[in-house]
Amino acid sequence: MEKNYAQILKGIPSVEPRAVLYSNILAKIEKIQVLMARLRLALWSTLVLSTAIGFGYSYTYLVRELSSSDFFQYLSLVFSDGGIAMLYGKELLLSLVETIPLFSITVVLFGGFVLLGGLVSMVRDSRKAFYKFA
Amino acid sequence: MDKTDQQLVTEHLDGDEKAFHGILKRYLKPIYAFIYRLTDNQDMSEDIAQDTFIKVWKNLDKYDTKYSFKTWLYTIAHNTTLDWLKKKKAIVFSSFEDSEGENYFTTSLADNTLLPDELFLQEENKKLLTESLDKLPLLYKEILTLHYQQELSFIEIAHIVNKPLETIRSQHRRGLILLRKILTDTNAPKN
Repeated sequence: MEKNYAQILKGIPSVEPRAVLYSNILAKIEKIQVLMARLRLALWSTLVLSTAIGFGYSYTYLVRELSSSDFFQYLSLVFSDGGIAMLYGKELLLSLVETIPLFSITVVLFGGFVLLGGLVSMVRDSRKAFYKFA
Repeated sequence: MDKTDQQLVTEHLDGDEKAFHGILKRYLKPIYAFIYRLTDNQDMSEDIAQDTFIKVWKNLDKYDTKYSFKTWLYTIAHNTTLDWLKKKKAIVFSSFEDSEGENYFTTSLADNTLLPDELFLQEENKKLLTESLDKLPLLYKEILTLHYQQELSFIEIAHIVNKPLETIRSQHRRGLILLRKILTDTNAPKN
């Protein structure tokens, strides 16, 4: 019985979609991609702006901390009097480590990476948000 | 050589925009034909097909490559179509079902008779076949379309409509019995 029906049912003509359906689907997908890119761009812009402000402040603070500490003075000893630096190397190294504003440097580096990453993402999403796909 | 479905999916997930075009080209016609069989409405079928492929595009990263892509795609089409039909309140119950949803013809007819030979021979009967298929209840129509026109196995159909395999086999038999009843009644000489 099934072979009988298989023959009949396979013979039923298949309905074809209109030619425009294919391009309509792709156009809708492109629209969604552009919208998502614009949303991401807005989010990245906010993040980059706030990170840039934070980076600016933390960088200024780092420079102030470095100039108020004795770090540069110890460091300049290495270049001005290499002999003394070699002789008292261990003590000099300890002094450098003690005076370096490690926390501020970490904050500035972290902020810098986030800012850079945000800028790269902004560039990528701005291309998708404002240019048609090929 | 044509790429497999899995290859196209992998390429799409790797960032190749054109890979999805390949999936769309391959499946747009059969999916549309399947949806149209259930809705019998061109505009609605186009909207549902569009929704289906957008869902496929959005969820390709969730597709498990262990399973058949075709089955996954038809499952999305099936669910999207039912959602649309429910929203439009367009699920029409067949006149062959009683108030409990049981089909009294399928329980009373013998099922071992072939269809009349002339049904195979006459081109104009294609319209008759299409009309007869449209009169079937939605589930029977869906199973017969998926099995004979989309060439899916009963296991795949069971997965798509989320029913046990034995239920699908039984509904398939009932669908054929009812189809035979409709065809023979329509083709019977009128007194």
